[in-house]
Amino acid sequence: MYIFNLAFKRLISRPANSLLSLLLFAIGISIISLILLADRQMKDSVQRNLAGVDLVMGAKGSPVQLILSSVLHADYPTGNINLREAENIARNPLVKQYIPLALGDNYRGFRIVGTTIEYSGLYNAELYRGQWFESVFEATVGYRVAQMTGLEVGDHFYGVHGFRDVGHAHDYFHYSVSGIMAPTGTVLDNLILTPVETVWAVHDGQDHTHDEHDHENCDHEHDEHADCDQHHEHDHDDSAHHEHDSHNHHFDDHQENPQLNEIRARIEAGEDISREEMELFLATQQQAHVPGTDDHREITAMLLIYRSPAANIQLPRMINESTNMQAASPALELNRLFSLLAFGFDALNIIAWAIIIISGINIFVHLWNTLRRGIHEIALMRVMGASRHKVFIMLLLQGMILAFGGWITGVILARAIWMFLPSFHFMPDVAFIMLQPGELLLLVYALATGILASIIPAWLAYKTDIHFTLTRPENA
Amino acid sequence: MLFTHSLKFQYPSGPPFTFPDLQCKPGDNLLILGESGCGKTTLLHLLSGILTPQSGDLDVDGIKLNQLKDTKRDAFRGKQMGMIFQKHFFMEGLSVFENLKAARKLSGSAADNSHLEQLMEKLGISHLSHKKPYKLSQGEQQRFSIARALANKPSYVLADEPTSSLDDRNCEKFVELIRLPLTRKPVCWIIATHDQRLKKYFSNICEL
Repeated sequence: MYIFNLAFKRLISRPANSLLSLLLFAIGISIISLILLADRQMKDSVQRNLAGVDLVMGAKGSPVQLILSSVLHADYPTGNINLREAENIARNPLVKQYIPLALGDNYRGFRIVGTTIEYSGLYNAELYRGQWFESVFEATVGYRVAQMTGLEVGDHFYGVHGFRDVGHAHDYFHYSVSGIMAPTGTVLDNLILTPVETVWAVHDGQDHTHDEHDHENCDHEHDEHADCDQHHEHDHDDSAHHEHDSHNHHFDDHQENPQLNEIRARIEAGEDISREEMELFLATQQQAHVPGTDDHREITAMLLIYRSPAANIQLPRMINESTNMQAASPALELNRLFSLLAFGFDALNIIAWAIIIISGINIFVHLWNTLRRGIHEIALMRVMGASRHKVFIMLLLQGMILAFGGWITGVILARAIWMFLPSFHFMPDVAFIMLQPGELLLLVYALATGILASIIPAWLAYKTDIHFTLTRPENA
Repeated sequence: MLFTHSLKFQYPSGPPFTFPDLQCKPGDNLLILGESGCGKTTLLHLLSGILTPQSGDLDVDGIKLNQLKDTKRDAFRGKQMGMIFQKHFFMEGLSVFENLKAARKLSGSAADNSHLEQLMEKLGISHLSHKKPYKLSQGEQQRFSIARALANKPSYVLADEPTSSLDDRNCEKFVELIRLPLTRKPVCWIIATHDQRLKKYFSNICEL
């Protein structure tokens, strides 16, 4: 359409002013666009990373920290918990599945997670190459880990204490890569999985080397996973025992109490039980446990998956009130975290809209000035046969082109910034994100702003009196 | 054929103008001569439909121009009439050629590049076609204005004081140019001026 062509040419005949208007508009748009991207990306990737975990048991402390450290692997752990104690809680008919996590080391910044094979099942991970880890010091590495470090099946590597690349290397023990996982688009891609026993072994060993003379006093100083009372030799039997252990237990081993049996039957049938019954059940179960050699084994956290939603009412409260552990619901804590972030997002949103409004005014001033200085061009167009409507539309188009250009630039700018932002560890790399519905809505607002900014100049052009414009003294 | 019959016009705060009846057909030229303030520009703007008379008739090629609606009058003017002003107006963002094209497009005609190129060729401004008009010299701008007035192959070209700022040589040159067969169609030049130098070139003169 020719009038569009003219509108465009008029804008680029004043390149500095037009570019300034467009860029200012783009900045406002890109901030909002970035907020939309961040919001969407975080919710998306967090949702994927939650992987159906209903509850996390860990050491007392900040529940948000517990979730971040043990589910998203983005923060330091709160501390350790006793494996036996955690298992006693977890062996519960309300719990469908429980998975231990032992953290503490990394390899070139990638976390080494002591766990069971079930952990990879949470993310439906498949093998890309090699085998799943089976015995102590075998490791199955995430896809991105393999990509970034170049680890191959059969390679060996040393872990480093802590969660960053710098630190004390456990150079007495090397891991061997048994397999590489296929990409999942979750935090799992950035993890190195190994049996829990490996973590115990490493930290026993570390104790050994550091606290040669007083290991019996059980020095916890910097060792989150010290296993205090014994030097753990790489115990394959032990490992096998644990893997077996962490599968569903239906505690067929304890019995007798008819009331207990009845409660158990009801739970397994999916019926609700009262709080008293629940407490009785758990108390009995704890008593029923015979202290064993593993009593002082520690883990970082235990992930729980419920069998029934009823668990949500009883389990967290029970754990928080009657144990020295805490229970945190990933969904709940992350919602809290998001609502905190939302506050910041709101503030940014207000700033962005202020910029957009100012840039709208800027577009208005730009169009107004150009029109006032060149009003004879409008008269000339009319002389050459353009109707009032045409010049009106041309001015509107000028405003809309600037706004649309600002929108496009803003949306692209947002993606460019997004790619250079230090990405959070739990977010997968995203090269290109499709247009958000929110951004399309933003386009509508942008065009509306363009129209608002140009409607007065357009009206002025519409009302232009050809005769007086052409015979103004300065034109005579 | 263009003719007027007792055209009257009055500005909101000014004396009424009554204009003598005019008649002019393509191929003829008409010189409207008069001092400043006698209503020359007003008359040209009435003839082109920029202004509408309070009373009287204006007939252009059988169409009562003063009875047309705004939009139709704009379109009619665009297609049938070229205009030249004392000051050279143009669209700043467009090159010489694009300005000529705009004259065609805005009146609803197809671009017709070959016609525009011929026109520039005849007026000797082909080499300026990609320049912005404000970079042209006075004489070049004059020829550019003539080219634009003829871009639509109009039957009438109305010129308002086209020579008042030109020296004798350029004034003569202007007359030579408009006498050239610039378009295949015969054109009626209606020139309003106070420039007595033009008198000797025209036979059809209306003094206001």
